[in-house]
Amino acid sequence: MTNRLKVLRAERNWSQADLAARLEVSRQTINAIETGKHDPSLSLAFRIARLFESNVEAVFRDEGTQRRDQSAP
Amino acid sequence: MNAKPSRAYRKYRPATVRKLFLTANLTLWGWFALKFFLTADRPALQVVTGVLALIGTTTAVAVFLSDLSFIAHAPEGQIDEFQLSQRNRAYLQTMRYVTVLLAASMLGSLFGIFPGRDEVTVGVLRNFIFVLFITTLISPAGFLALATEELPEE
Repeated sequence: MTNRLKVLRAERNWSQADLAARLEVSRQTINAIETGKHDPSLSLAFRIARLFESNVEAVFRDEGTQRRDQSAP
Repeated sequence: MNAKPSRAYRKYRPATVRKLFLTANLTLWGWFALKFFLTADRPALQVVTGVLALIGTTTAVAVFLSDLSFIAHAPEGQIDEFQLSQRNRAYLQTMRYVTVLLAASMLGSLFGIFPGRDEVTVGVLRNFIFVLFITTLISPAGFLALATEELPEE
């Protein structure tokens, strides 16, 4: 699964620590999600999407969906 | 939810906890092994075993008071999902550590590799249980430290 967390965070000029504090998780967790080492649970994914005033699909993409989009005419 | 550890816990870098954990393990098991060779006519060895015990106990206490130890022992509601998954992995490694040590000690007793002995005294068993208990207690925090990467300053 890939995500746009780093981009969305940069757009708002938030550090990993800022985002971690807003989501009430550790900075290690934010770093692990951004680097693809941890896939967040549904509930955390929805919290992240809500924080960025977006939907889950706009923040997270699974590789199957990406491949399908790329192969589409 | 991500709770802050109480002030009793010290904020150490993961690399520091790693070093403390490895030092505690090496010195405590070293102390256990050297005890087999202790005799009254070897005062230098007595000093060395005493120093190893002191270093081992001190570093084990330092690991136990680290903030990674808080994560290792905190109630599930006080840590977040990533910390919980890391902790579960650390506990699996701790279980493997204990299993390997118990298997090694059983093989040692079966094949009589304890120096010059085919029996185990109360003292040897007491020392073994002491070291196993202390190192097992700090293992979750130690394995967490081994798995935790240093985050760059922002």
